[in-house]
Amino acid sequence: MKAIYKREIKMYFNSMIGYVFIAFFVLITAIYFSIQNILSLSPDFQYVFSSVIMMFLILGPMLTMRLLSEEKKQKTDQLLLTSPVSIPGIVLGKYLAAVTVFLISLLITAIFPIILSFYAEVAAAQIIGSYIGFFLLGSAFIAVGLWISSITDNQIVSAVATFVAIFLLLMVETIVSSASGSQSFSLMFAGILALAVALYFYYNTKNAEVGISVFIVCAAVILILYFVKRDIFTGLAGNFAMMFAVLTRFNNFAMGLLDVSSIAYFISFIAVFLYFTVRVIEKRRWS
Amino acid sequence: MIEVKNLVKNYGKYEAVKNISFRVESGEIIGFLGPNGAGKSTTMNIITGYISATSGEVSIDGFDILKNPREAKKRIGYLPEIPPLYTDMSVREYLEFASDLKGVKKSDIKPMIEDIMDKIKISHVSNKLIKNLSKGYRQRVGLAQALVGYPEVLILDEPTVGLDPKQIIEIRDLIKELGKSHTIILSSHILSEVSAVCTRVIIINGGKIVASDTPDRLSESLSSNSFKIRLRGDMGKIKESFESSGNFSAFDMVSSAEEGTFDITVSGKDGVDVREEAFNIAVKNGFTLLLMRPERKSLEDVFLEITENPDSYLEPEKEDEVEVALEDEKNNDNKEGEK
Repeated sequence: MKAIYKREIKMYFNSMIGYVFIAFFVLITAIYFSIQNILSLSPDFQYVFSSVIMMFLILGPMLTMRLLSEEKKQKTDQLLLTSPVSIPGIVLGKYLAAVTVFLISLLITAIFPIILSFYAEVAAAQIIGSYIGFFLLGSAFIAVGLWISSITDNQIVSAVATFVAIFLLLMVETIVSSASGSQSFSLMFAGILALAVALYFYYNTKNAEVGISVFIVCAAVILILYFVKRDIFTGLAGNFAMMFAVLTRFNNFAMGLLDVSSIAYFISFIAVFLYFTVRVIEKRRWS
Repeated sequence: MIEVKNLVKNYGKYEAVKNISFRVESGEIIGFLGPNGAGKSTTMNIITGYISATSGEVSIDGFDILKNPREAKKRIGYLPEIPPLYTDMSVREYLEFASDLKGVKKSDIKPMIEDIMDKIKISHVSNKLIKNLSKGYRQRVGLAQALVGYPEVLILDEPTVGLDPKQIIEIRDLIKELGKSHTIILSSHILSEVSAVCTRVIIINGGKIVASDTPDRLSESLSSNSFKIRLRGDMGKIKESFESSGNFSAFDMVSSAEEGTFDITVSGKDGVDVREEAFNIAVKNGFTLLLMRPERKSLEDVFLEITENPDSYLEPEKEDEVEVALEDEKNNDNKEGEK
């Protein structure tokens, strides 16, 4: 794990990616800092983060798109997987390297609230909370990106898919608040879920009949439930989607609440996606 | 040392490896021989733990590759078909990374890398980025990576591909040298390479082992009882006298490099030794016998024969007339090629 971590860190800073990431991150933060704090004469630095979050759409894929996809493409995963290193070790090494680069840029931006503190009373709790929340949020996005890069061996696909995934994660609240109440929306959602399950079965058995019959069974169950017990569809999709509402969790931190459940939420979110990544790599060996 | 038991690998419905079993003892150099797509690389990938077998067991030095991967992998150095190189690293950086990965002690890394680079003759490119190296050098760096940590077992998938003839000889000598202290499995479809380097050859075709023996014995066991005879005498007379004797199943005559002499290839019917018969004909007709030697099949012939019709090696009694005729035709073709 250490060897892989070291190599990835080196990789980030031998290529331009590490520097570009940090420079871009600090620059954007600085722009928002200038607009929201200096030009508006406001000491509320925590709002800067809420604005900066959208940057993850570009910064996330940048950090993770090549992590595992490139190994697969260049066949260098053959070296990693035939060395006496465990797969979780490989995944964790890569993940921690990406998180480290993110953390470095985050620490550099700490200079802005420190500057502020010389001239105004800053809300230390909110700012520290924002930092912790922002770090956890970013780390969660990196875990998602790492998982996506393990699925494809094409960097561009990996980058675009990560962009979409982060976009969806950021939009969860908006989508849910506008559509979750309706039962037909939940029905549609259940249908998509059934399709996903069917595809999963098809993918694993490579048997079209199995996939189709699984889909028919699922669809039948859903339809029967819909006509017999329509109530359970109220808010079903919304409740499910809210499991991915990372932004709501982040807002707790921004308010200066060091909420244990939110910390646990992010840590398990990350753990789940790292586990998925390990599974994807393991599965490839068996297929 | 390396034990492979009932290995099976299916890709969906396609069976890449069908029940392969073999043992490799310490100090052996095994050559995996087979046409493209025979299952060589798949087998090697399974032995090294890169992919998992559908069923079957692989153990290295008693450590199962699935149940105890860390210990097993520690003992293997692997050079895959495409060397797994990080092209954005320098050769030294790359080897340092490989050492880290394989858990070489920190204090040993530097001298070990120097030693390996010396052996493989890449010291002079040690600070170059791998992306700027030629294919031959990349291959060598890949080999150097396999040597990192001095594993007991080396698995080399087509180690001399892409090298120039001089480099090929160097690498072969190197492999022989390494064979003194390592157990080696190498794959190749270059037969001369395998016969030059390996102590044992395993021929794989269609995912099955079709033959396994020393290179010498392998070509011996398939060499037919045909002989090359060089005679001085009249061409027409020689031809007539040999053809009139009914004991030869095949007869072929060409004029040799020496003036006034002819090379004849004869073989006896049903495996009968026909040397005396040939000698007597020569004496009776007053031909001068200049040379008589058994026609040994090269490993090339063996390979072609086995991979094209695997039954001929494993169960020679099953050979029927058609196959014999085909073989003869092939032998003739070969000779014409030589001419």
